[in-house]
Amino acid sequence: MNPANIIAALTLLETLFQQVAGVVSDIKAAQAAGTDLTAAQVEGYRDAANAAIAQLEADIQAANKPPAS
Amino acid sequence: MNATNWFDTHGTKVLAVLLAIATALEALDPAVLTGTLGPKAPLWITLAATIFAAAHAVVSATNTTPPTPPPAAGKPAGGFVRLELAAILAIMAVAAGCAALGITQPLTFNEQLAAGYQSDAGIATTADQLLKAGKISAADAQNVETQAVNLREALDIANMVEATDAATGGNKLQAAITAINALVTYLATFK
Repeated sequence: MNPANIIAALTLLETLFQQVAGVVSDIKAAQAAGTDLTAAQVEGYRDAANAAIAQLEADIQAANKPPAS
Repeated sequence: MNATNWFDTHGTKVLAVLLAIATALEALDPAVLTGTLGPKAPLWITLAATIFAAAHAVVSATNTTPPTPPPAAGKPAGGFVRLELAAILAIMAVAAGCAALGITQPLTFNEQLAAGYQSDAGIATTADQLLKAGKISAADAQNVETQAVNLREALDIANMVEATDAATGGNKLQAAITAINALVTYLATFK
């Protein structure tokens, strides 16, 4: 058993569930109020997707970088 | 057979069946569910899939036995991790559908679009974390990134089109969501 791996896996799951909970919460709030999500809210989720993709790209570049000799 | 081996052998099949059942039930008329399995049946099945995925993540994380056969030199131990990735991505895709997460009213265009972007972010975040942990290769991560960029662009196009043609925009959004589900289906059967 590797506690570090357990924590890493649970942290990742927690992050993903929080993201899901965020959008579900926003949708439920809008529906309860009888309104729609605003364009600004949608743009916020788009920005989050862009940021996540940019971070992934940066880490891919880092992983492909040959180790300094 | 220990727990890790069981997940490795049957995990993708069980998860795929659970998600297929949940998706099929969501497509049914709610009145049919009310008279048979109950209106919350898709929710319970999705929760079962979520718990299953979480259990696998924990079992995989606690595994200290190398995969059999061992990975080739220079390649990551991908068997368990790809299953884990597929399970988590499946959860994110279910979120894109949203109907099984307690949202009973039909989603508006903006709500579906937001859920789509959120799923896209989740896909990239998951791949990034697994890459940094050394559990997937840079090539695998690059493939996921390419798909994430394609999905974001598809959502952008749907949003632009919807401004002038709601019906066509809605169709393009559904196509993008279908693409998300297709990616997940592919990943869920891949290890």
